[in-house]
Amino acid sequence: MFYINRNVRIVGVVLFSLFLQCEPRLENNLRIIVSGSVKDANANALEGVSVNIFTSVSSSSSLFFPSVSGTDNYSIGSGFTDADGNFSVISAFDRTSNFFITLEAQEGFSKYTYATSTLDYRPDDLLFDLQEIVLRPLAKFNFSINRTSTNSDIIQFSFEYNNPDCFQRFEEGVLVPEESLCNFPIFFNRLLNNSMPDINGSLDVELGTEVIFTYAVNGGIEVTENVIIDSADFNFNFSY
Amino acid sequence: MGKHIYLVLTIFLTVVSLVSAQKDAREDTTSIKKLSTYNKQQRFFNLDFNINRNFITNNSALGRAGNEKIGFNLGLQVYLYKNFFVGGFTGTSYVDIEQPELVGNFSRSRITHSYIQFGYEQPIGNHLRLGVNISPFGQSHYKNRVIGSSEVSQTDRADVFIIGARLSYFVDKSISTYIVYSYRQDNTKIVVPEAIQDQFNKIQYHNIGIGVCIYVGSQSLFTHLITN
Repeated sequence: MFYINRNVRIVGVVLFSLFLQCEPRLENNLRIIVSGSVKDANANALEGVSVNIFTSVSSSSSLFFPSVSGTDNYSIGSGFTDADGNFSVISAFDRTSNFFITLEAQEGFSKYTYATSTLDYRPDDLLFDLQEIVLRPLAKFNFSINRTSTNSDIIQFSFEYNNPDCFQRFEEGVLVPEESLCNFPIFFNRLLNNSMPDINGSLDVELGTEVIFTYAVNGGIEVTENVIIDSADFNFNFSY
Repeated sequence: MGKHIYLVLTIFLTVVSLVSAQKDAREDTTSIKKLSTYNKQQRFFNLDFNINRNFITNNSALGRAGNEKIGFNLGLQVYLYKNFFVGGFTGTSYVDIEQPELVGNFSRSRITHSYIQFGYEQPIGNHLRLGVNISPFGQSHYKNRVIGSSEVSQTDRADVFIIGARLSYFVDKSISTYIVYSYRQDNTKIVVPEAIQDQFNKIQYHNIGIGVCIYVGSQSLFTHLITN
């Protein structure tokens, strides 16, 4: 009789269990509809916004803005908004702790993510109605800070701005504000000195909003400037 | 609608049976030489293989979203009495999904089916037989593969109902080739939001195919039972 060592059997069961967890197990004989409409900040309809429904096999609950390329994420429904900004996408369904619906315009707009756990939740009418979602216009904030003084000056600076993307987590169809982030503040700061006297970079910010630039040279008095982002490709240059 | 089709076909098959029985009774009294014609010989069973092409109607979401590919069927039919037969079939076909927003994010659906078929064949001419069949009991599985993944899939199930007709040409006493047409309706068990129920509860097909049959034996099952 073929005999399998007990330890080998245990390892086999564990490996088999892991294998089972590596792929989503979509619910058979079932479809849902994900619907809603997408507008910009001026209430204009946005056409051609990509709508994707994802299931994730990752156990992490902080998966912000998942993408199709993520190895743990599987797109199980997809479509686009029409000329009126409306969408109605037929999708498969999965029981998972990380069920996502993402809205993403081609470019120039913020992203939206709806997240929920479907382990114990499925709408009775099989409809996920996102209602009206606003995607904010984006701008590139291209900054360049350079040292022009001949001394070994140092500068401590920061940019404060709001990230226009929106992540909302729902529990049984009800928004959970403490686990959601929309238009959330970002604080970007650096210290420039002899080892790195200059810096260039780019940040995604909302068009028409303010970036608060604060700096102090050689530990001196803090100076604050409010920069209004009034173009989609905004250049900010500063020298010390 | 489905019950009416059953009723019409039952009546049709009964009438054909009675006409055939009377005709055969007359023929039994005439020369046995006629039976040597290929298409009039009695058989016990046949093995059946065909390749076919589905045309899913646009009534269903799958019909609008998909592009049908070639499929095949394999079956065995036993002649119960004279030219009445019962058979079992299994087969597979494929649909490439070109509009995933209508059905889910799938790249391809593999449709496997199996069903029981009842029918009757009427010899016509020297080498030809015209057959009609009905398949009231059957099941199909639609295995839908998720885009971008060769492993992840989802399955829809349905009950199958088929009516069809075929024209067979006997190239030998034990081999025939045939062309077949059938109309098929899959009554699915897919649960969907009410607004799209009519797009998912039925999948209707027209199907055409060509096939080959290999015949075995020289007595129907009934004759075999009463003479042994």
